[in-house]
Amino acid sequence: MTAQPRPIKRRANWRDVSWRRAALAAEPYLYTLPSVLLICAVMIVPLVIGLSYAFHDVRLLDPTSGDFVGLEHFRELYADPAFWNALRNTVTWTVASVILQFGLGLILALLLNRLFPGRALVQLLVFLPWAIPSFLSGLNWAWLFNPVVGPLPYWLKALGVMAAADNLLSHPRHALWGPIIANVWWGIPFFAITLLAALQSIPADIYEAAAIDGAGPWVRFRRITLPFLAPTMAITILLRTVWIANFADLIVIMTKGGPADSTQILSSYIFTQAFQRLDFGYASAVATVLLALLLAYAMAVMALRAAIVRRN
Amino acid sequence: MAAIRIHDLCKSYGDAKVLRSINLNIDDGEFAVLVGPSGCGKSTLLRLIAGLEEISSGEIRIGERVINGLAPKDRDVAMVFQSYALYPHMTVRENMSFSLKLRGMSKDRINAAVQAAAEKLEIQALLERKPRALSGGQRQRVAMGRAMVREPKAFLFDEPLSNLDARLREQMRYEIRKLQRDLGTTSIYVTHDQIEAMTMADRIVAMHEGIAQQIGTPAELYDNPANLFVAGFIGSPAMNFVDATLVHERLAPGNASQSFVMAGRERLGTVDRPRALRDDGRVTVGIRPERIALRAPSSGLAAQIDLLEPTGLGTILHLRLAGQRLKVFTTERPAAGLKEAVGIAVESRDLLLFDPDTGVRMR
Amino acid sequence: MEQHGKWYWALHYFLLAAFVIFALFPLFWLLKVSVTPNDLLYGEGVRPWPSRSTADHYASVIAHSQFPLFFRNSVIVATTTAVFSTLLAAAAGYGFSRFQFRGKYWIVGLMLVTQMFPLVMIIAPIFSLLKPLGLTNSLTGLVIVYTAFNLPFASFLMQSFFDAIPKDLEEAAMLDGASRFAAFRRIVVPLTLPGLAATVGFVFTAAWSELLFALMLNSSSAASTFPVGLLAFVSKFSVDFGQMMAAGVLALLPVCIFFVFIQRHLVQGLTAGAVKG
Repeated sequence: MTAQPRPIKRRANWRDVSWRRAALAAEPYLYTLPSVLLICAVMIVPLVIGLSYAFHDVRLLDPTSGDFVGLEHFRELYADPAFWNALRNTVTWTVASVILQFGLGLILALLLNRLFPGRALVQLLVFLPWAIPSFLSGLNWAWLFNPVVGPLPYWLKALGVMAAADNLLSHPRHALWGPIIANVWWGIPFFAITLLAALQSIPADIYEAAAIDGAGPWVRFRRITLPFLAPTMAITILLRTVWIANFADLIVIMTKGGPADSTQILSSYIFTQAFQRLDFGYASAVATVLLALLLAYAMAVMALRAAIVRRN
Repeated sequence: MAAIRIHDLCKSYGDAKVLRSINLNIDDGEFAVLVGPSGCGKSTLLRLIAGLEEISSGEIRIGERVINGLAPKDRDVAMVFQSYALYPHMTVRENMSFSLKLRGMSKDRINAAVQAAAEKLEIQALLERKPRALSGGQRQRVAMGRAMVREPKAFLFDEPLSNLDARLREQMRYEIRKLQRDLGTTSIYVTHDQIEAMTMADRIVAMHEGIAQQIGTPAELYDNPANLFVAGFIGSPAMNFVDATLVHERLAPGNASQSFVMAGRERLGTVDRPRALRDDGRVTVGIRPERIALRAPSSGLAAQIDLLEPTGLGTILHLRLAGQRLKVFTTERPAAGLKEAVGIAVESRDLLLFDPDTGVRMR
Repeated sequence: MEQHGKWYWALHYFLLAAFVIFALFPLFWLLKVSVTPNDLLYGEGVRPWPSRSTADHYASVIAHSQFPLFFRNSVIVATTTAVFSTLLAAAAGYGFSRFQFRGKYWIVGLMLVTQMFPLVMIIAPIFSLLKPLGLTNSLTGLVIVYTAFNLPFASFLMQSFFDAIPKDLEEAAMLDGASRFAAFRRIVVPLTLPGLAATVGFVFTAAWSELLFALMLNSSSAASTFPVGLLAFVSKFSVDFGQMMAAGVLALLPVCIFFVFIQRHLVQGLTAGAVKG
């Protein structure tokens, strides 16, 4: 006979029951609250403060500032050509980046979805850009565009895209494309990985059934692959669009927003206002506008999605 | 080992009542089976006993202890899950030792206990393997070993055989029951399969819609079902239910009046007049397929054969009688064939009367 | 597996080669310039590889600049952030995965909102909040801020990993005598080690790369992380490309190493969460 385990002695009664109920109810909060509190302290509280700055005159260098100014900053930005320019650039930047990242990422994912020798190595190599810190990616591409050490000016001239072998980043009209290309280089792996994971979750037998039914590859792509990918992709693209619109690092590094503010997007404009001019009030006002635009965009996409779901 | 007493147990999720006032006494060493269709509450009841969910009201005792307010780890019960829930990253030995390690037992005693259980289950050769290297039946045994090693007050089984194929299920049924008899541990076993319930249970708790419809030995539920649900659930092929009326007549003047069961114009048989007869005389008559005798078409009630299902042991005949469908099970090879006529006869004592609306058995 | 013609595979490999070249070319160029001696730098601009290579740039960067200090700071900040984030995110992710509780949707919604707004928006308030606490120009301040920034994504990531572990494993452990937390520690966590590793990798990479807040919150070089240091370095040595690129290559190494290890789990991990978007 094996030894008796330590006997369990407690008698249960209603006090135990209520104690246990309370403990059980508190459990999920114990797990989640530390994170929630940190996020509130570091992100939500500053967000509220930031929103309030938009309505106050807050200049770091001027200790007497801090007065309430109402909508003064908003009037200022309405009349600020740099603001409108940044808004236009934000649209260009976001749309170009998302379309190129998604399109090229999809092609890459489709290519990687087939088994072929050396696939693991190829996968590793094409996903590598994602691991590169964004600031480094920015610097790297800035150097590539620099005629002193980089090859691109010469190649662009050879291809006839540029008249002379200059730095693309010094041309006000086209400079934004420099950061866009860097962004695409850096962002393709993200879409490729997500799309690849989604592609691999499509059951193979659906494709087989379609092939038996006589559907060719293009038809299969349109009728099976795309509909299956659509729901997950919708959310991913939404989140990614918002994220890219907010992504100022590359621009700050590659052009600092120049030449002459021509590559500023809203978030980099906010940064330069805060960091260089130290005008927190104005920066917060611009940020508030950006936030409102993003919320409107998100709600529009949600509404669109709901409409599509209802139609089906 | 201990008796389990459940008193007035209720469980609701929000407004949905999942268990209504369950009262159940399970004796020490008994093998009780909770059986019923999906959603009847049997798994919920098991989980309440295990402590994996909280009760809404009522009381559960194991031995003399009320365990309502205790965490699962303090209840001293062991559970075998439908998926076995073996820890994938541990070997079989580690799986079985886990609970003892948590109690602070010494390594030697743990090894001895694991060895003893493994021998009993004949899984000594598997001790150093990981669960993914085991077959379904082997995993089942390891799950039992994990439960046994703790010498708990009760075993709880949550549909452990559902994932096995039919042959393996038969064998494991036997093994589980034999093991439990050897160990003498009080056990509660949940299944939706009435055959498992009938073959394994000391007593069955037939459950439906959160209520314990009947509690009794397999024979009691088979011979004396308390209502339509139990009658239709227990036994395979399922009991026939015929819409009928009860009519009283004197066959001859001077005789006592008798109650006849009439299906349409066919007279199925005579019964004692039940105490709870309805005004309109409507009854539902339950007749087990194996209690219907086949005769020549002229003697007995005339029925027509719609379909024959040979099972090897016997044949299930699907008949049509007075516009209603009847199944008959016979171990003899039937004389008649498809679409032919056949006569049937039933003994009075095999006519079970139920109230057509409430489903309660009329005695 | 379908049969495809020769042209299909030719196109397939051609496109793949194009992607691989596009992906690796910038890094290759970085490496190339970093080993090009200064005298050859301007003359041999576009050659695929310098006629003479040198390790001088690396030597100067490591020996003569503040580079090792920046590197060290980044390692400290990124590692600490990764560890704290993963611990907190594991707890939160477990909470989301296993429990239904009041306010859950509010909390999840809160975390989603934090992913939406421009972080630059709170750069000023955070500066104002941290300065009086003495947490500007400090690595601790950065760790706190970075941990908070990464928690939402890391929590959702951990949640998807936990969702893949069946609940009966914890239930079995709880019946075996473990409290829920012990079951979490001894059963669930060992089974999600790949997920934990992936999360650590993600957060490390994010913290390693963060530029704007590091720039804003730290003005002294003693507390500068790598991105800030490199940027300052770049503007100081505006013509010494060789050294800059050498510094860049050195900056790549930790994350590349991390990446090689976690890359296998990336697609796996995202498959778990991909269906949920």
